[in-house]
Amino acid sequence: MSSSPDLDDLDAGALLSPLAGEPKGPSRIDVARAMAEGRRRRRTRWWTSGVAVVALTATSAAGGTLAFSAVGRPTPAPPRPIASPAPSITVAAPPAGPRDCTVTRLPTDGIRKAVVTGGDSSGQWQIGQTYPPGRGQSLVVWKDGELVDEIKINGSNPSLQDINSRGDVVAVVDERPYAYSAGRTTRLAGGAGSTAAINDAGVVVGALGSGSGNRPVRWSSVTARPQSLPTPAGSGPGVAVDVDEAGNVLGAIDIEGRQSTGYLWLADGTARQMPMPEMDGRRADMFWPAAIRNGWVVGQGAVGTPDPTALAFFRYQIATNRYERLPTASGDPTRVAANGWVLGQAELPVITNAAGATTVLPKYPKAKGRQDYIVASYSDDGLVAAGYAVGSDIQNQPLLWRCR
Amino acid sequence: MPNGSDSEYLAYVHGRTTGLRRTAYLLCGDEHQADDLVQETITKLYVRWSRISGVENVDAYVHTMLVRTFLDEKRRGWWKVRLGVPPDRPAPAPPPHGVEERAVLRAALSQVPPGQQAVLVLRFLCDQPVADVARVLGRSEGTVKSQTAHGLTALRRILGDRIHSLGGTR
Repeated sequence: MSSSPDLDDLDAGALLSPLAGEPKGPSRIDVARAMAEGRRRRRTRWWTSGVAVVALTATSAAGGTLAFSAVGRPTPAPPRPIASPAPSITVAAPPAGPRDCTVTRLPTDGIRKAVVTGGDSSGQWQIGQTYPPGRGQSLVVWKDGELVDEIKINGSNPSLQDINSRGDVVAVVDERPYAYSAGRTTRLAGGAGSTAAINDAGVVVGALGSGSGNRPVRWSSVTARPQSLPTPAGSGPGVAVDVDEAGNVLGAIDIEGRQSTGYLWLADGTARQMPMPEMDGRRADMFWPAAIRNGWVVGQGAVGTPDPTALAFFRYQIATNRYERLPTASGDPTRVAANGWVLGQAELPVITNAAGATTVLPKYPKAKGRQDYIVASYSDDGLVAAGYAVGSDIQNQPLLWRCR
Repeated sequence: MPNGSDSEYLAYVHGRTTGLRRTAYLLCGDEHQADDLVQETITKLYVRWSRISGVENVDAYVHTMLVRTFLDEKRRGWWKVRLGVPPDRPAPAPPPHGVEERAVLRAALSQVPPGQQAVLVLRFLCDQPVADVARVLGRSEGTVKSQTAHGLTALRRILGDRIHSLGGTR
């Protein structure tokens, strides 16, 4: 240790000075993705927070013990029958489900890194972005496993949100809602906001405003004026997150101290807060919705506000107004098919069929190290899923899973 | 003071990105890793943004998050940063003169224990006073001073004779 720290400091400044400088290349920072990922982490904080907290949470959520993998994510205990308010479900039941699932990498025209951010109900179309060296991001469309379109929308932080079976896309650029169809880009009316989903009839849902001023809206077409979706007096900000073919809109609003809890605007014109599922003998405080399809809703129930102490996965049916708790092995539910099958994210993507049996989708074979999977697209027949892999030894890889 | 809304988050992040990128670049010496570091930092910031109004000095708070993300990365690797955050990594553009000097120094610095690396970068490249570095790292000023001394000693030992062809040769 030097006896003359001031001189030492001067020397040190000179010694290290060649390292001074600014990054010269274009920024690759993606604020929209930071927000999307941040929202996902808010919902799944129990997976990534400290292991002690996770252990408590996960144990209580699953009603049993969980082991922990090296990445801090709970590894489900062996499946067990789970009591539920719906007809009883046994995980080991041998029902109809996906078979012979395979995974392929979606083509990227030689670009090594890409992600899938959505897809349509037929399983034919997927959307996402590639990362061509030196060019920031490129918005792309795949059809039948082929790269078929590159969408150019000027503005910062572009992100494709959803695509329908006609190939109509909705996007967010510059924190504003956009649509794209057959080479033509349309900015949706209403000012700042975001799109979330488009159905085959061309109905778009999302939100206008931002942050604490967010309000859920519906556009009957990409050229229509936005219609505010009514929320109860006294409720806070909210967003519409998904729409099914019947026109039922799923939302998440802040209401009565519940943050982002499920809300439904049904095609018959009625609207209501979603009920709370039962979790381990008590009523959940919030239900965080993820997707709606053919009257099925999937999401997570949470006990504890504002920071949950327990989470569990659920499938809800509008027609019966009942929840069914999904096995822990289902993973975090992200999409649901018209037949009620659920696509979830565990250590690998998982399909949970109508009877609650789970099928783990195959890993990306080139990934050898630690890896994680984000899924964003699921077909109505429950047989085609898409998403991407991230890992310690691979670039982000856009993946398509097909089952029979 | 921000109230935790998305619009304020966007305004805040847009206003700070350049500074965060610079600090991240000085910490890790790689543009693309720097972007990954900032991406992870602003993602963490968004997770906590709804409660940001309880934070007295948001800039210091974010700076601390950035440095801790850097230290976490040194300990654990990059997989977590890349989770859903996919900046590409093209080959770096050929840098101008001084490339060899920088490469030698950066390689040597990367062999210094991560906490000491952070102290050296914050103090001598970001020109932060000891008190600020102590606050960012959540350590006492005495610890920062001793880590500075240990870090410099280690750096000089690693550089050995090569130090004479670099700056600060005394």
